Amino acid sequence: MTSGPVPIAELERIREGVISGDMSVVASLTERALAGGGDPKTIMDDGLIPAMSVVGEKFEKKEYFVAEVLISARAMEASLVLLRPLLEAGKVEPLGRVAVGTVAGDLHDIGKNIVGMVLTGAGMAVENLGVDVAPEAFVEAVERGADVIGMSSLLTTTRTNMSRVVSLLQERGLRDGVKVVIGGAAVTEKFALEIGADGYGTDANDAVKVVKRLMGI
Amino acid sequence: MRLIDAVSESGARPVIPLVGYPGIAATGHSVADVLTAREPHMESLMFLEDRYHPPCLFHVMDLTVEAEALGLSVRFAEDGPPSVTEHPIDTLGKLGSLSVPDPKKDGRLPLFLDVVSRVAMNIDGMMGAYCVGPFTLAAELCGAEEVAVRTITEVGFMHDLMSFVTLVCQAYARALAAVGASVVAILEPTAVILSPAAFEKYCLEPLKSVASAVRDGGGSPVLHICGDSTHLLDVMVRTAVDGLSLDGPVDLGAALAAAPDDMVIIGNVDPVGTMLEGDPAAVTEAALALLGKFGGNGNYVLGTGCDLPIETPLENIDALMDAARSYD
Repeated sequence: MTSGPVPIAELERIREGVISGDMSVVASLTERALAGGGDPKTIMDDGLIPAMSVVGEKFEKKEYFVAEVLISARAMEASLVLLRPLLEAGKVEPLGRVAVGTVAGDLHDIGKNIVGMVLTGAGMAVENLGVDVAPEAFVEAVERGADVIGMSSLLTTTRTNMSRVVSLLQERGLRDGVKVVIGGAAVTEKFALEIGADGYGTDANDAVKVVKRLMGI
Repeated sequence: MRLIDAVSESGARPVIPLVGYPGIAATGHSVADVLTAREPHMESLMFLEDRYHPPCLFHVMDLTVEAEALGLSVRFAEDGPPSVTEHPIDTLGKLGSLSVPDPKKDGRLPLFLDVVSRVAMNIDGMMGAYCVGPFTLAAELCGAEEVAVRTITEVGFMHDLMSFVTLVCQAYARALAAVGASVVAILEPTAVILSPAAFEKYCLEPLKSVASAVRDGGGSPVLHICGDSTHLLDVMVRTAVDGLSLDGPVDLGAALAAAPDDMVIIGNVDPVGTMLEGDPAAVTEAALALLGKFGGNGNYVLGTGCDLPIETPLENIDALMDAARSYD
């Protein structure tokens, strides 16, 4: 595949579309840029990532709240579905691979989605494993190449499943090759230490800092 | 009686822990048994009454009873609160097919009314009951992420959804108060994701309506939002409830500054970091720190930031109650 530059004005419009959460505009701009031979990595690196980084900053400064972030995430995703196959075909490597999920028994969805999206804005390839995720499914994500797994729990009765994941990773000999980060209302820094996790994030932006620190970025 | 009057007249330093689940563990029942049958529920509440004599004893928290009465499926966990497993009401057509449940007939609503009315007659303090908040019920019906997004993209649908769920909450809240709940806490955890503007737009009037329904039934309305609700405090105060129950991350100083003197502020010992993971000494320290800072306010009531985890050590709850009672 040949790919060339993407006009700066087009990238600016993609960024604006993501920041304002305009899904259809972002999708059609991405289509047009690709059809014109635009480089998917440029759209990702100079369009989506800086836009999500702005969204993350607005979230941190309480200019944006969850709804605004979710809408921006959907707009970003509308572009990402078009870019992903091309990036993979071109063997473009992300900064890091993170798999996020809410642990078994727990159906709380939003927190880890926000974390996933802010991580995407930081240049990570994020796999969202969903809610009520069995320990085995986290391990499989590591086998697929995740550098970091991020687990969420909002119920103290489900947080023990985090330590089951850590044990399972040890049993399979995978623990040393992956960083384990946890978050959610049911966990604390102290609990993270107790179960042998590598990090604990108090909120989405903190989670990004923790992940970057652990990956040495 | 308004909550502030009950608090002032009690004489003692009030403390209201949200303590249902540890009572289940202590009496050896399963969560599902307690939430689906009268006797185990009453037994665990009477255990809590006998051990702690709280000025207000709440029943076991279950945020699914209203959604279940509307026909949604609910999954019970072995040792934690149940959850709604599907959120199918995503169109006006589906919304139109629902009707407001009858608290005396539908789902487990009558069971909870029965427990409230019976326990109310057997305790020294006030009986407390829980009713889901309108936005949280809307999220259960349509999905939390979906309603969050639709506050921006589908204003009309959201207004219709909020109008309907408000009727559901009003009917149940009124019934709880009428059968003997002196305090009805409206639980609105999902609203914590909203911006102040969206919270005002979608939740202020509905919450005022539910609070009115509680008063109609003869009870005192309290509003509880989980997590860091600092950004919503100003609007929460404008709901004109009798009390706000606030979670661990909220600065109670800011809440007391925002609230009028007759609005009770309840909180906010950390339910996980302190109540679950700490020892009695840590609980005493946290409770005394709060009382030291805010005890001078006549409308401050010591409490836990949120519902206590089932495995919270009973000694830690003893320490919380003792800290308030020995403080002067």
